[in-house]
Amino acid sequence: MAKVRAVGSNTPQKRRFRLLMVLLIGALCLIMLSPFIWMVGASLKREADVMKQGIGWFPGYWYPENYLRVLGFSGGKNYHFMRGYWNSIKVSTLSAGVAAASSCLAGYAFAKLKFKGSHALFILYLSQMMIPSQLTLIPRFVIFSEIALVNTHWALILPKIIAVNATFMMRQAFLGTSEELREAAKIDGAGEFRIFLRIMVPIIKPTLAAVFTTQFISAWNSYLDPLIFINREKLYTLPLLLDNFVTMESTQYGLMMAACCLATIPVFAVFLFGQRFFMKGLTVGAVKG
Amino acid sequence: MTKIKQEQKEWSVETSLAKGRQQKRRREAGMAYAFLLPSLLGLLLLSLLPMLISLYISLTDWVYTNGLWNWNFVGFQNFIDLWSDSWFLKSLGNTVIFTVVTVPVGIFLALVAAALIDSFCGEQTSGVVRIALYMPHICNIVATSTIWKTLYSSYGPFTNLMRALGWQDPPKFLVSYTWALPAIMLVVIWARLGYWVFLYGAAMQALPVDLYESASLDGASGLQKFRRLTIPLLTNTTFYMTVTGIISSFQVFGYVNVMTGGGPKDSTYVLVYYIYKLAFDYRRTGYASAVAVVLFVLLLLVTVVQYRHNSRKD
Amino acid sequence: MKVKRAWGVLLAMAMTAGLAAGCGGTEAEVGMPEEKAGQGDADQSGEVKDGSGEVKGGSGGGEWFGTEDGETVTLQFWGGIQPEYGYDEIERNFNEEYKDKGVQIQYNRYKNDTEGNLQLETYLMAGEEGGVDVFIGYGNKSKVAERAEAGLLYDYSGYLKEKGFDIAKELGENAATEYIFEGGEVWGLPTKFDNGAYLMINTDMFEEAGIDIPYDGWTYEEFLEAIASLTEGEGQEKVYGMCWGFDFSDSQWRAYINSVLGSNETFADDSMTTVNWEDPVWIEGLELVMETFEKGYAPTLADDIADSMTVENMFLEEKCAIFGIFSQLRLAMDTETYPHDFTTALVPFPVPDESFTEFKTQAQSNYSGDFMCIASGCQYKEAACEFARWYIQGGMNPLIKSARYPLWLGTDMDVILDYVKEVAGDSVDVTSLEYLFGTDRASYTKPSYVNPKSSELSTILWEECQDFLYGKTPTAKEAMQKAAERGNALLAE
Repeated sequence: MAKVRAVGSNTPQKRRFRLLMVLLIGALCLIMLSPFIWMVGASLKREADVMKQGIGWFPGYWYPENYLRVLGFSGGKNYHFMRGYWNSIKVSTLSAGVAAASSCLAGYAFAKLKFKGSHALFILYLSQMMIPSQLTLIPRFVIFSEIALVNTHWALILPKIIAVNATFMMRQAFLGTSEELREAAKIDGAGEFRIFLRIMVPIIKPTLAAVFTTQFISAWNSYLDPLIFINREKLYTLPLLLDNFVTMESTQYGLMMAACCLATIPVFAVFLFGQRFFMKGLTVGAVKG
Repeated sequence: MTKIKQEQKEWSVETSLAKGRQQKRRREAGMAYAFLLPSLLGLLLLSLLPMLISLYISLTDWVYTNGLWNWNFVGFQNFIDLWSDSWFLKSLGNTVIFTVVTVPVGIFLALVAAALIDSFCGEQTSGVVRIALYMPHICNIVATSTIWKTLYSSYGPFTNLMRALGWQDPPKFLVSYTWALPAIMLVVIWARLGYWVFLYGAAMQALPVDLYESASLDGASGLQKFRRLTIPLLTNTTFYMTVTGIISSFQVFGYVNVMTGGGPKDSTYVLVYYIYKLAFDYRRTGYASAVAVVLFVLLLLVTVVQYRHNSRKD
Repeated sequence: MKVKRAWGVLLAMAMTAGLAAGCGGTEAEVGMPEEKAGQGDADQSGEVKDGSGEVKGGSGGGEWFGTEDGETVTLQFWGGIQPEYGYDEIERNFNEEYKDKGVQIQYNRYKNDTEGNLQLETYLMAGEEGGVDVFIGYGNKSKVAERAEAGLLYDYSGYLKEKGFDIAKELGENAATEYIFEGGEVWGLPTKFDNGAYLMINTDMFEEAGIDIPYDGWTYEEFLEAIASLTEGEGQEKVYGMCWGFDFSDSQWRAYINSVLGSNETFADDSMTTVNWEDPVWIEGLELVMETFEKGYAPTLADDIADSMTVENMFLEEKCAIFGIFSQLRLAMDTETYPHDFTTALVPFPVPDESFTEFKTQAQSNYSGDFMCIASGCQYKEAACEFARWYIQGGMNPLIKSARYPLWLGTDMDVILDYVKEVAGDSVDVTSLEYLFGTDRASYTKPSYVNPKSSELSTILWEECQDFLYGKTPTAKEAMQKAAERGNALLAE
């Protein structure tokens, strides 16, 4: 639903303006898509051609070898890509699920419930984002190994229970919901949790989908945490597998980009799914008046 | 419910109201903690403790390989040394410039792009466009950095575009003392744009249609509606973006590390890059933590100011 | 209230599940016989003799390295090279040879960069639970010293003594001087032999231009003359005489230049209180680089980095005749991935002038690396020591596939050269390797320094050099003066 759209204007001038804008958006899309296009192109090139001087988007030949090698169908080396896929899907889905659930609850408390120290606590939450994660790595490793999380996927999933970014996003979404709706439900005798689950969550479903999507993506691309917290090959996630293509002397971009392309597919699917969700959510979202 | 009402009638009106309010408040607070429980547990166990340890490390001369609890307390020495460290000052300056440019420009572009998409694309197309914009966020950072290095190379598409636009002798962006930092800013704005458009898009979907309809009836133009209705109605989203944008701009690291490695010379040094170098290359983890504390305090100040400003508006 | 309790229970359950999973994971790992052996099924046409027949300690039948109650132990061995470039074969050879002696190894690859080394060190810090028993460390002596100081490494000098392993005789005087620490400790022995002060050259281009290959060394003047005649063409088609490879490494050319200063490091003397950067050799070296830029013999620093010039897209594409980084030889051997039909030779970096004759072959800078280290948290020290010895004394030979040559003096170099011919074909000039291996590495000793500030010093030096090479500082002398000032100030702190 386009709310800003100029209603009922169809003069040639306006039409020309529209066309111009559409072209502009098209150009923007192309610019934004360029790395993806290059990635696909590079994944179809012979290694020696990928980083040649001067940019070439697509090779003039058909070369699916990189994909076959990454998946272990040729080249004689098994990168265990499918296992990495499965690990990544598992870790990212659970991470995003944990983050979405916990941040939804916390966001609601911060936005809708009044309690002492609410503001200070929220700032404390925010402050968790303010120390570079690289520095807390060693302390986290020590704590995680004390509670036996190291070398399990839980070391990547459980910390998402405090997803500050997501909590913040949820809080903002709940702030935008109507207070009257909640009061009305209260007068009808609904308990807080019921109000939350039956009335509030459906309203902010689009944001919930957004939170899930962004958390999924960030877990999917996370590199340093899995690298430090996991050293069993069986538990490796996809970004760690990409290291296979970086030798001491060079980066094998062809293979790496093929792996990146394959790695993008599930994220893409999640994004499409999330997108559809927030499209559906819009009618409910409009309840606010 | 009826039972409660009956009971209330029996009490004197005044005390019951006060008590009720108090009780209600207490119940609400209890409820709030129940809602917060999972994330509070996570906060205490998995997040706060490592953070406090890091803060403490800034007062020591710790080297990370020595293991936890094995450090010398040096008081505020690290914080004194900072102010005569030219790399620190350079990083601090660059980080501030970086944030001051990327956050407002990014938000502005995202708002414009989201509004354009909302106005000029149908439901189907806008979905496709949003996916396209979101792509940089999805792609692996190695892929995006490599492509940008190629775009910025001497005869790369970006440099050629600049030539076509009439820039006689464009620099080699990533090795220029003046242009390397702006070049990285552009990449970061670009990478973030899709995410922000996505958020604005989601927020715009939820805007009340009737308000726009009545504004149209009053004869407001598209631009007027955008300024008077859309922008104010998006405050919650904008606030979120500003705060998280500032925090992530202050902590920019990946693109600097992959694209320039701080160079040429120290012209793209930023705080987290320097922290990383200090902590792991120079093995001065204690000192690196002191830099991180400065970063932390700055961010905390900025955030608290923004938060209060925002709360007051509510 | 009910809700609250429910959440509490739920969370407790989640946490318990996490713990259980954690413990389960660790338990399952104990004593797992590895199915990995099955993976290395690619047939090796040219198995390298692993040299174990020449072992001195005598590997008599009764040796046992497993646990006392007869169980075989598996050592976790970490290294930075992809298994297919040699470690697969090493793993197979060792496991075959020691299958009845109670010890097996399993190779794990880590990435030799900041993150990868952080990962390695984190697991070393975790001690017994870390799962690193033996590893190959990269970098220089400082890196070994840092790890030793942090208590991450095991001193295996005692074992070596017991086995009668005399470092000076086995690995050369230089290695003994360098890597036996002050108290006699051995924290890590170098395993590979190479020489950082060598260049890769395209012999076909040299022949075409009628230039003799300077196997025995050359001077700056001869070098400049050569690259002048090797440079041809203009614009995108230009072929450079030289490419320094700054995009890959900004420290390599500094290694070339200080290779003739009598020290591998940057200090003026043993007290390490001042740097030697104002030495004329530094200044001339920097001027040499600038001259190659100015005369167009080499891509400038700006071009090099802005256009990401690498061995793959410059040297192997025949866009330059000399490439400034020797360690990339493996890529030149890989004609399948990077199709090319010329021969690559290794030649010494030039010396400033004839007065440096004794340095001409760059023998003094023979550089050894790939340190064999044993983790202090390793539970099976004896087995680890045995593996380390086996590895150094020939076990590592399959690494020729990644252009890494053993330092061990007992190595039969003819075998190595034959193997090079076999795997590399015409892509590598074997004569030049003969020269390289022929350099005297038993007598020349050149200690390097361990200084906690050395990485910072290196950053300072490179920053000031950049200022000169990008044209911000007018003369090399001034640049080096500035660098020295900053370096000395840092050392005085």
